[in-house]
Amino acid sequence: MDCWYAQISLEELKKIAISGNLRNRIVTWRVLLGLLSGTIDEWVTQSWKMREEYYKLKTELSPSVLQSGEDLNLHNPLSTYHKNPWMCHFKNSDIRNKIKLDVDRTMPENEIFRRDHVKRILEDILFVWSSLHEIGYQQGYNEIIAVILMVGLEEEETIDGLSSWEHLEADTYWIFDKIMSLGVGQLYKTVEEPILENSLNDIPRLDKSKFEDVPELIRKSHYIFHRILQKIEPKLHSHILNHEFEPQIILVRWLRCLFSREFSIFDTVMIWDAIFGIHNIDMPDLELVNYICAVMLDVESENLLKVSDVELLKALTCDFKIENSRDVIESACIIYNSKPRNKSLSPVKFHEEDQNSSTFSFKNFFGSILPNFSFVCNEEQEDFTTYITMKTMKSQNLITEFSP
Amino acid sequence: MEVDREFKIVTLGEGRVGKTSLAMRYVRGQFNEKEQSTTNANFLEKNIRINETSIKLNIWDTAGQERFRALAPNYYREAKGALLVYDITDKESFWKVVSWVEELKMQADKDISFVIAGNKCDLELDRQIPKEQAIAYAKQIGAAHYSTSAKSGMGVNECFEEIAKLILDKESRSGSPIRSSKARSRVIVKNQEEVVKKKKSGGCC
Repeated sequence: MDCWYAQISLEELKKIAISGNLRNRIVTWRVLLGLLSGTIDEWVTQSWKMREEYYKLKTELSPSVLQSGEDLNLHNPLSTYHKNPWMCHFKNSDIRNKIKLDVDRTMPENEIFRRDHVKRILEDILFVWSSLHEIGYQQGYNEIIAVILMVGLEEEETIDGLSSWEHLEADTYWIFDKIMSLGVGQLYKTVEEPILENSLNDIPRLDKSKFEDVPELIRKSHYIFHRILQKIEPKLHSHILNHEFEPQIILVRWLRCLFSREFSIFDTVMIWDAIFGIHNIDMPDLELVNYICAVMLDVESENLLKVSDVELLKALTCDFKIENSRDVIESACIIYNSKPRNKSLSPVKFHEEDQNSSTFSFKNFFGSILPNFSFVCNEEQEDFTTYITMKTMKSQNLITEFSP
Repeated sequence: MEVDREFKIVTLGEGRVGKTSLAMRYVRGQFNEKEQSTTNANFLEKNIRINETSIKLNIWDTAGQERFRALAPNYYREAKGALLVYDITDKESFWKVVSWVEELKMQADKDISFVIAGNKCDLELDRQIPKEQAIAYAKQIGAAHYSTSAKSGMGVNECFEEIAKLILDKESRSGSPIRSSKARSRVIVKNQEEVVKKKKSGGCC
């Protein structure tokens, strides 16, 4: 098949994703996330299989109430017979009504999401996924799916067998499903037991990342806050801590909606490219996400340190916006690369082929240090030295950009 | 403007009932039919005057689906008042208010004042919760009930101001003005740390 990604290896595709030059994302995201593997022909077969599976699920979940040849004494809106398709119909319409209300207000500023057929696709994906998973429908899924749909609808070229507007719904469903299975779905789960009196859980300053039985959202937020931010920007860490704002209040939306509200749609897509590009298909979650959160706080630290109380809370949540994703991505990659890991999972370098560029490239500066650096220590912990050195140099104007 | 009192108020209730719309209508006088769903929380402020007291209301407008341990306690911790919102066209959302009341009674500040708002009253034809039933429930738990519409503005100022009045009343009855919530929070946390310390040090002597 004649397409650019047919000629390159997975490693090369990863580099392209991280450097911000990815295209045909409905195909390439699926490759990076491990939904498609092997040869291009195999991708086509895998795509068709997944689409058929999705259409089958969709039909099964919405049984027609008007089946011919059924006993009308059992199959009618008032019957309590357990296999009565009307019972299922009523239950479904409850969920659908909730979903519809949220679909109506998804990306309200975007004209694409005011089109009926796009709203219908978003609604169907939300309905199918929520019906098949115990956690059910939750607000926030729509924000993730909307990004994928946007990308698919705006893609200039469609490729026979691999991506087409006709099957965008099914392809989007599986990309969303994969993202959810890579740790994002866990973040929507909450624990339903009441809080024990005087429990340690009630103390806002405590690092709860190592606590047993805390919801994943809390564990992850505390890890990012107390074990990454604290190391790279201790001043901001204590500033927020002094206000007793729990990290999950700040990070809930970033983590659950994968940064789609903190960046423009263009930058959100760039961030996702890097997250999926860095992702190793043997890993259970999207590792770059943690570093992106910490770096986002770090790049805004100067402004955040100037405000306190409710102003600080606002700046950290509803008013938090970052204009440019490039610095954030590259800083997050630096931290990722300085985490020692198994040799077989070699660190991903960006801008390796950037020899034509006359501008400063961070890789040229630290490129020789980074890979070795990763294998020196044995502990499975991040090493922030490189990141902090780079930050210091930048603040002293020794380097102007992290990379071109 | 000199502020005599500062109160933290939370909006609570099922998703999609119109918590953000009520808060936005109250603070900014605006209504947006397509208000995005709140996935974390919005923080709004409004200065008001009740009798001779000037009050700053810090409104924490929360996400509807956050219940139980993950997030909600962070939101209602130190709150002096709660606006419990349901959608009059959605029966289930009223029962959510009932369970919120139970949770707040157990977990929140024991002096917390409640006001219940039956929102979307502009959709009277689709009403699923009889007004009398909601009022009777509010009476039973000692809360005020307001019929509101963020769309038309009906009852919006009234329900927020009622919370402020209730908090002021509680203050004057207990005799001690409630300080700013922050000062109180420090005290609470200190106590909790002491409790932890005591637990750890064990019971010698």
